[in-house]
Amino acid sequence: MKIDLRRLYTYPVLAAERDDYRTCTFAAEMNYFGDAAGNLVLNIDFRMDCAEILQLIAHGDAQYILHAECPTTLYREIFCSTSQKFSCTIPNSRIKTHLDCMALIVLTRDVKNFSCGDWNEDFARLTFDLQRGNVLAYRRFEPLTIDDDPNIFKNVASIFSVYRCTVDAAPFEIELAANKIKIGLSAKDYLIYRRYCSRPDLQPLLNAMIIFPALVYVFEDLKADTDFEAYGGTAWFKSLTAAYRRLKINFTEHILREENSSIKLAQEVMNLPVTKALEGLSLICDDATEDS
Amino acid sequence: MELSFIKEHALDALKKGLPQTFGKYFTERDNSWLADICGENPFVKFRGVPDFELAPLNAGLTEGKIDFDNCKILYSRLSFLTPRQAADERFWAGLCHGTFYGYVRRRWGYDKGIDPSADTAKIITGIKNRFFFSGGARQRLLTNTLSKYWWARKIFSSDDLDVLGATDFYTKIFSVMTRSFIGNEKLRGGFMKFLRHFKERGITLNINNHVRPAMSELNKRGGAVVLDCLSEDEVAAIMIEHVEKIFPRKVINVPVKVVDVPKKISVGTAKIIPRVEVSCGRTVKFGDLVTMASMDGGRPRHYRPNDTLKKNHPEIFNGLLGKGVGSTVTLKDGKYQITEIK
Repeated sequence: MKIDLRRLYTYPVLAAERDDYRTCTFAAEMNYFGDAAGNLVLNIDFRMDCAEILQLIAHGDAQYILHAECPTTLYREIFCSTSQKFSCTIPNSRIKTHLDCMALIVLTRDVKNFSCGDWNEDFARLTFDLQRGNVLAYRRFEPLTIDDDPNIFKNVASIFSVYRCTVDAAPFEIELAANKIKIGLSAKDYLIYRRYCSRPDLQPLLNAMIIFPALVYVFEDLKADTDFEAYGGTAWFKSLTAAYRRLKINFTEHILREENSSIKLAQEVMNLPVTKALEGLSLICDDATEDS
Repeated sequence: MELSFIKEHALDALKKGLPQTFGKYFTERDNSWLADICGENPFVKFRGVPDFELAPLNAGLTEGKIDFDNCKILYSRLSFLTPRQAADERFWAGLCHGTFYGYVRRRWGYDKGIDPSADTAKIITGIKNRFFFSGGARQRLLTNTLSKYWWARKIFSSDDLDVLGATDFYTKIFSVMTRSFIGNEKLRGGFMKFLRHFKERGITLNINNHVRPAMSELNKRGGAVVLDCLSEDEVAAIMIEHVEKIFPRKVINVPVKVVDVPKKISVGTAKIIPRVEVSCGRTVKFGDLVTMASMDGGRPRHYRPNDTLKKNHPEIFNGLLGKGVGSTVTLKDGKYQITEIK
């Protein structure tokens, strides 16, 4: 379920992106963790300061709802409560890649002549007969990335997949539309890559040779598509967004800043790949010297 | 029987290489060519299961019946998969290229060779859909030859599948399961009640003319209310009402019988319910005013089935819809007979 500004309501709805209410706000904070059984536990805290809606909730005419959906596994469920704080558990086996969540306040009964003193003057002195199931307030959450590697900055290669092209000698290619960033190496290059990619001492070198230029290309492409329409839904984009969020940085704003060039961003994400590669190279060469 | 999945980089190599390798799906009887393309054995063993066979392809069964039977066969053997595992392309591509490579080839007639007049791009798209995952999050589960069997049975119980029926099975499954509402158990239950409502009345719904418009109507209602908050009955009622409204004559075709109502003696007074006069074959639709006489000597009842979202009696309305004058209806407080429909 997705609600955005394109959805028009015939009555005032309280949401950060709408101006139907003048001063009242609706916020919801969600934290999540994996329990001992590996299930996903969501703790949600609703905060809303509209007296009229609070009264509806107190009378049992409305309730708080968390709407959770994972299209990849055909999972969709709501969790309801009249308490502003509650927890819910979703089996880990029901979710793959990401979980779309939305916090809502929804009517549980038909309500006649609903009005609120905080409504925008367009609605002043109006009352509405509302139906059970009508949305009174909502807040969208960023999709929860489930396969998210907490060490993504240390292991950026996890959002990449290197595959073998059927052509024997060709420049390497990159595809961004899939859930992982796909890097295609020519058949000959791929064989060499496979031979060495599992060696930890060669990882920094391979990352700098293959992943780093690919990531520069990724940021170039993202900067050109300021709405992120093409890649916003991919798992790699969500992983990067989540990783930056943990650093309290808004990913999309961050990459669009003029001072953040693609090459700077790629180095930031990979934590100085060239330095690491050179250090790795010197270790290998020094070892070789000592051996000789 | 050994089940294996395909390594991710091998999967990428196979998909990317399709413009060069698509012909092998038509010419190669076994899958030994995959290792050449991938540069290594592309499979990783997942687990073993007792041997089983999918529905026979040369037994004169229709494609719908083959798909229908395979849903039950495949799911019963692979019910241990979690949805998370079953949403993984590597597993289904592994099955399509491994254990069931020959079956999938024959299912789509690839064993008969390439049609020289066929469009190459379409052939490649076909292979991508049938042997791999392609398309959106829900669509991809339903285009892969084997994955769709598992998911259809996962979402619908065996009884539900029987209601859906084998005819034109894939079109139905695809149309329904690519809808977002189908993920919610309650909404799915309401959808099945909608289908059962008509099936129990001997009415066959057409996927394009009835089911799709009813699903669109439900989706439209979802713009105003959070559908997940509705009960199964309410969901069913929205869909039933819509079908009744747009196709009242074509769909509702329940024969009305003229019946003699037995005498009923109530306490103190002998009350005879008169023989019902049937003037036409009209049946109850949404919006009609229905008058019913008690067969237990109670007071008569009047109901107007309409938007059940605003009423508390969807079960009564369900019992009335499609019935004709003279039909009997059982309510909580006794039996009634329809005497008039206005």
